[in-house]
Amino acid sequence: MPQQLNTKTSKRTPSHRRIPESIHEGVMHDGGVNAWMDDPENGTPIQRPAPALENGNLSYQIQDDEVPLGFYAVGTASFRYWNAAEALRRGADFWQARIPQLAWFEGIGPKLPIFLDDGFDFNAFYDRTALKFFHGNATGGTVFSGESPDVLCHEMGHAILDAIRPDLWDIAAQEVAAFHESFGDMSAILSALQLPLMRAAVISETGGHVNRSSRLSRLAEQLGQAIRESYPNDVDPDCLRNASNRFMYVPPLKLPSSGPASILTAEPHSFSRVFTGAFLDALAGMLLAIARDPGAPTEDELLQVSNQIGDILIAGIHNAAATSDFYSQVAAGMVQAAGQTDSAFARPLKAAFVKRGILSVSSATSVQTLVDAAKILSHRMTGAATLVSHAPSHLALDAKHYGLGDQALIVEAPSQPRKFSVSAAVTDVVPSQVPSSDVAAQGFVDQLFKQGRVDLSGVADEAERIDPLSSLKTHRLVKDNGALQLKRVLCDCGLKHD
Amino acid sequence: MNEQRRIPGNSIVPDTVESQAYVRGIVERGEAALPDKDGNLPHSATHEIVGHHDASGLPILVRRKMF
Repeated sequence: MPQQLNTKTSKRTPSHRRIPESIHEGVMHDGGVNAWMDDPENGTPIQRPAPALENGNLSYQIQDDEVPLGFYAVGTASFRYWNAAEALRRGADFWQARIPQLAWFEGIGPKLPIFLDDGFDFNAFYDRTALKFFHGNATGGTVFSGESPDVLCHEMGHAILDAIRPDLWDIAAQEVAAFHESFGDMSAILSALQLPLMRAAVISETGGHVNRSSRLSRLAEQLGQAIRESYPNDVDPDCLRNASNRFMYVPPLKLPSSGPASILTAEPHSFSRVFTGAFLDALAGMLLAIARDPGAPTEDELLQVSNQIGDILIAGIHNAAATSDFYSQVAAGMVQAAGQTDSAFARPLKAAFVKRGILSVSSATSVQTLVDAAKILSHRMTGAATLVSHAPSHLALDAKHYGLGDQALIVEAPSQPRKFSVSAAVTDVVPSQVPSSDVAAQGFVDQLFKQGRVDLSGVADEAERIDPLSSLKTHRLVKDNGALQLKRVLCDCGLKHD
Repeated sequence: MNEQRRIPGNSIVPDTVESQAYVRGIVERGEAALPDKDGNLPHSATHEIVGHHDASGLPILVRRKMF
């Protein structure tokens, strides 16, 4: 059971239940409102300053009957009105602070219409005219999608991204559509982190490792529970989508068009989990990178990195070409922006994207450099006579692949003669092609770097490093005679989760 | 391409391998629909069918919403 703060919580929103003692968040000069901290399921009611629906370029107009400002009881339409207003204002203010001139998509005008209950459905959407939310029946009562700050800020995220990059709306590419969904979830995460109480709760629940499963990573718990009652395979076991996940990048053309939530598919919400997972990993790495005490990061430090990763995300989106490999485009732009924001951030960004396979560890190879380096090493080890007459058992890889500069990385290649003519199989009947020794070696080293298993201490500049700040290292690099050599340090059991 | 009616300029035409995979996925998931007489799509639909691409046998779509 996750650790809870000393707060009053409630289960599924009961009808007309009052909040006996809600948590006060912020200074309320002009009155305030009751609201959920993140989601109604096991929700924490808080009190917030009165949100200004009309504020700057990103104003809202709730289409339901106007409700006077006040502290309303959970379960009432009046509570849902101001709860939605609070979450939407907080979310838009976060993005407005990143891009002050940002305005809604041109066809919408200055006020984005909000329909808090547009009928019966477990759904919510943005359609370039409005944000629309619905309701449905579930065990324990009626569920309103517009009552969850997670859902509200996800849909708002669509509108924000549409304002930033309207060209993405019509792009016929799986990764672009999935990125739109990921941005919605990232918006929900970043909007939630603007609440001091939420930051404290997440740090407490995760021990400062904010990419662990927590109320931050579990998005839309109540809506997920309601959908799970009828479609148990359509959502994650603990929420609608959990950003703390292990999904790896696979070209979406190779994935089925749909499937259960337990597998990755090309369906945009499903495929979005790869990028959102990497984003949460990156956020966690950035927090550790700047924390005065990495063992106990503070909520102020979490606020700082949430703002900075928002800036970095925007920069990545601005710089990304709308191509079929959109994930890597955005990721590359984010890595570039991270280095400009804080030299400590490039490494956790790279580590997160490389580990997910969103960014490849390989790059263009400088062949001549590799050949020269391999010759030097072979000469030193075996003597000049054997320099060119035998296939080398040591292979020189381009260290630039791994951010290690213009030098060679020497690895032992699996090039001994085979004793048995066997191979792995793609299926039970179709044998796979046995990779050449250099391909196999490159693949092995790539995998080590992806998993953060190589200790780069002393051989790489901090800003160039792509290994995570905290992970079990099985190999280290040793500088020898102008080249780097890969040495195994230990074998691990594979059960440690970083 | 058989244009049953005027195709908007922002249409998704399935004329490449990738766009065909994209449209096929939308169709398979039931997210493409024709509008009713009032121009509304079912809640579950993200894309409106605005035409038909003869070469691929797939519909031409326009995105109307995101969930």
